[in-house]
Amino acid sequence: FAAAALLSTTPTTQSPILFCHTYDLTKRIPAAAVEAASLSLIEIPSEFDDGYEDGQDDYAVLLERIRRVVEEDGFSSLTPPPSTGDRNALRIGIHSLASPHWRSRTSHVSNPLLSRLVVPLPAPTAHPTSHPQDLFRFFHALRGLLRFSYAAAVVTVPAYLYANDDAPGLMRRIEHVCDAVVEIESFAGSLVASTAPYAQTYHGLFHVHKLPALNSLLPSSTKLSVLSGGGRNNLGFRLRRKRFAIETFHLPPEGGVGERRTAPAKPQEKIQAMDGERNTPRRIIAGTGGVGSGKGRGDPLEF
Amino acid sequence: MQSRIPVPCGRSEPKHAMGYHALDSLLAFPANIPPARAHIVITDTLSADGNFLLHHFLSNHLKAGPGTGNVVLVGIAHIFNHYSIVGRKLGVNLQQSKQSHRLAFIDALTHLNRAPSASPSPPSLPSTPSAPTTVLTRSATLRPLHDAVSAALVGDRSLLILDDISVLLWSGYGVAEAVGLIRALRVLVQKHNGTLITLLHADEQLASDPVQDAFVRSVLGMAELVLSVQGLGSGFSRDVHGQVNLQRLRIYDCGSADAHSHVMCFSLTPPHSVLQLSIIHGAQSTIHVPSSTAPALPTPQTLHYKILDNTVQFFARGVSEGVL
Repeated sequence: FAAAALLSTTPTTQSPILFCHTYDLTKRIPAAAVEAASLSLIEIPSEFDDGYEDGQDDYAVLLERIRRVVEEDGFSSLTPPPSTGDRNALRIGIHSLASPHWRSRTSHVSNPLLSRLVVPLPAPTAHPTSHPQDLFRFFHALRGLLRFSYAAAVVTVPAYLYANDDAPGLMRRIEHVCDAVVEIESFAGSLVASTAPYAQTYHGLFHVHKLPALNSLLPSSTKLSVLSGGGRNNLGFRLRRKRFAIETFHLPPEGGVGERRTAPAKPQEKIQAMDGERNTPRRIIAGTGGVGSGKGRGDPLEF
Repeated sequence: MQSRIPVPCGRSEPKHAMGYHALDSLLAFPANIPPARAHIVITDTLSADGNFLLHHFLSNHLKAGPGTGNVVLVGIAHIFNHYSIVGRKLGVNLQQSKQSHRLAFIDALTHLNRAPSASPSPPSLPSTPSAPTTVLTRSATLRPLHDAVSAALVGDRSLLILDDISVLLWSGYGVAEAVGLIRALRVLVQKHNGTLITLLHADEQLASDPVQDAFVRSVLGMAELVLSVQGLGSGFSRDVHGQVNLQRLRIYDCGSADAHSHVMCFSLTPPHSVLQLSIIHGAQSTIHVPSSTAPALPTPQTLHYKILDNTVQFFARGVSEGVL
């Protein structure tokens, strides 16, 4: 659950700005680029490390470390630029915030019994409240910090952990205080979706819940997007080895793209199945066995 | 008792989208200034941000000539730069207003939940030559915020905007304290014959939390006018970004300084539930029994809106250009 901050140099090329990049998982970042970049890794001490304070609030510690990087390395817009040259932009990545590794002074859930499962070692001073305020205050303080800095932060949160009623509205509050919110919903987690025909072309849905509208009434991506509805509706993603693509989600043609049925169905088939692949006769007709159209499977129970 | 407040029911809907003017004609405030001693609550959701209404009220007040007090804008979710740049698109210069003390900005975003800084001087003081933003340190109570606002409010018919108060509740201040702050600020604003505008988030998904629900209902119970901004039920559309529901809860005074009568009973239907609530209002004014000839409260009105780069178009439901 360590957070890593990467320094990136501003491009000085004259080429037009691309908004779509190809994301190839088989390509690795060259070691030279990693060494040339300035990386700050933030590790929050656990109770087995030195530097751990009893009853510490992990979010407050993280915020303090981020603030230190922003202010001391010249990313704050309130301090004059460093004498070494142009300013650079800071990219902050926080992986899996609010997962059970993170401990706060107040627990995320209101059920005291459940909090002992989520928080591995509750600090002696922690008491479960119905306000998960430490996580919210972290996001709010981060927003204030980033507004006066040349930095952008991307935070991933395992929201499925908080989908139950023990922490009602926790994610929604966080979403309100963030500038942009996207949700990746995989088909693999749902029994219905993973066997659906569209699961062969797409691996999941990509929801855009909020777009950043800084310094304007309208989010700028609404005007620039070429997708329907300003890019808010019906997006799916597919993840292959060489590409991660987000595209408009289209349902595949009705009836599947498998073998097409052009001959009329046999007369014994009273009810025609619409989908050529899943074809189970609704009525058991005496005397016929396993008659189906297209690629229908014979029902062994039918006799 | 006769109510001498003109009830603006029966105003015709604007025939075509006219930008913010359509909203102004529907609200029917004299000189486009919200009425004195009124509390306007704007509720919004994640899919429909109510910020555009705040910018509008702010610019209307600043454009009004002398005769109005100053504006105090408490930015709990946005920094001054955000309002300033949007204000420029709407035709007001917030930097200039701040320098001439027509506008006071309290930056609560950077100071409410700040990381404790090791440097001696708070790094949040901007180095640009502008009127200093008030510094609030993270404290256990909301008293410093109240005092900062109290010191900043000047003049008669001033305007206090809080954007947004849900953050106060979610930052851990209790419901009683957060509601108490709104109540205290309301009294303060009434002493200045001004208007209080608060924005809070009232998503459906948040309504199952009893603390959040209590907060929203309490604040709505103190409002004279509620503007609920919601997304369309059918999802996101390019032509209609959402809808605004106007509901007048009490008949408010439109500027006369004499004693006025209020209609005592009103029904409150918050946007996130369909529970009917009847409240008898008794504080601060003598109780008048409504006669049978008292005018009925206007029914809530709904408008669809579409946000553009420098204005917002309002139109009656189903009458947008993209639909017709």
